[in-house]
Amino acid sequence: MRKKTAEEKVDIPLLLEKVKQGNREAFMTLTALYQKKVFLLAFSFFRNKEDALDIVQETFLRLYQKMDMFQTGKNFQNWLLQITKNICIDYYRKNYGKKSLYEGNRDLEGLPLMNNDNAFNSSDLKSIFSRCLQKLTSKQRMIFVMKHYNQLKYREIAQILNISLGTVKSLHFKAVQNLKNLISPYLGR
Amino acid sequence: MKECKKYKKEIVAFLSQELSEEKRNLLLAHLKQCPLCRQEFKELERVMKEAHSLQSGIDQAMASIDWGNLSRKITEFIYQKQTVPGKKD
Repeated sequence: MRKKTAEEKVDIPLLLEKVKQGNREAFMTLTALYQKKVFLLAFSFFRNKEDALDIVQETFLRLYQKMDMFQTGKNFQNWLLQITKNICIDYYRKNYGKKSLYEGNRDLEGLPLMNNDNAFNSSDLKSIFSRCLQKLTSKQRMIFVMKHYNQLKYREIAQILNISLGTVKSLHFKAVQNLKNLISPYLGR
Repeated sequence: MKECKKYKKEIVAFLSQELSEEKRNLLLAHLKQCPLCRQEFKELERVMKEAHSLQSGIDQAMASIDWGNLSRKITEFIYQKQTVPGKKD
């Protein structure tokens, strides 16, 4: 039987209620429970620790501000990661993008690739894979990372990115096929 | 061949633990009799394996962060900025 994760052992609705009542400790517990997942998603997008840490702080600030908008019974983690994804896009526009191109558009496909991998020139397989991953479209890359590093299910990814289950399956398939084609020359047969 | 196209998608789903038991059994039966799909399976399995090689870089970045201190700092920052949850400044 699968072991319960830390956040599964905690009564999240109760914790959220305490935060709404102004309980600072409860907010810190909530942050401690989810900060790594938020970081992982942001890191997958920026491949840069500093940017990812900025995203973590911004996400929890936004969470605090929007606490009343969370609907009881919904999946809290998915809601939080949806906030994270939107903040990644806004942060990119603000710090790296040409604002006019992306104004009002939160479509990941419109965003260029981030390439902050320090090992970019290295030829080991890890950095080759990292470079191949960067060559995917933003949406394909994010879905691949959510699936394989955040270990989310297709239906959870669909909820977070607000797209259909079929689209997630199809984009994940394309991501894997593209990775296979990109990495094959380095692997040999 | 048309059948193989369908199974190509199912191999990805299988390797990502997203295939139902029924479809899994059909795929495994097909793999037994189709060398092309077996080759595809091996190649995709290797891609997935390489994906795990990146995990160590991610783990390294995560290990360098003092998480206990981070949640405390974030909470302090937010509670200095804000007073009531659900309300902006």
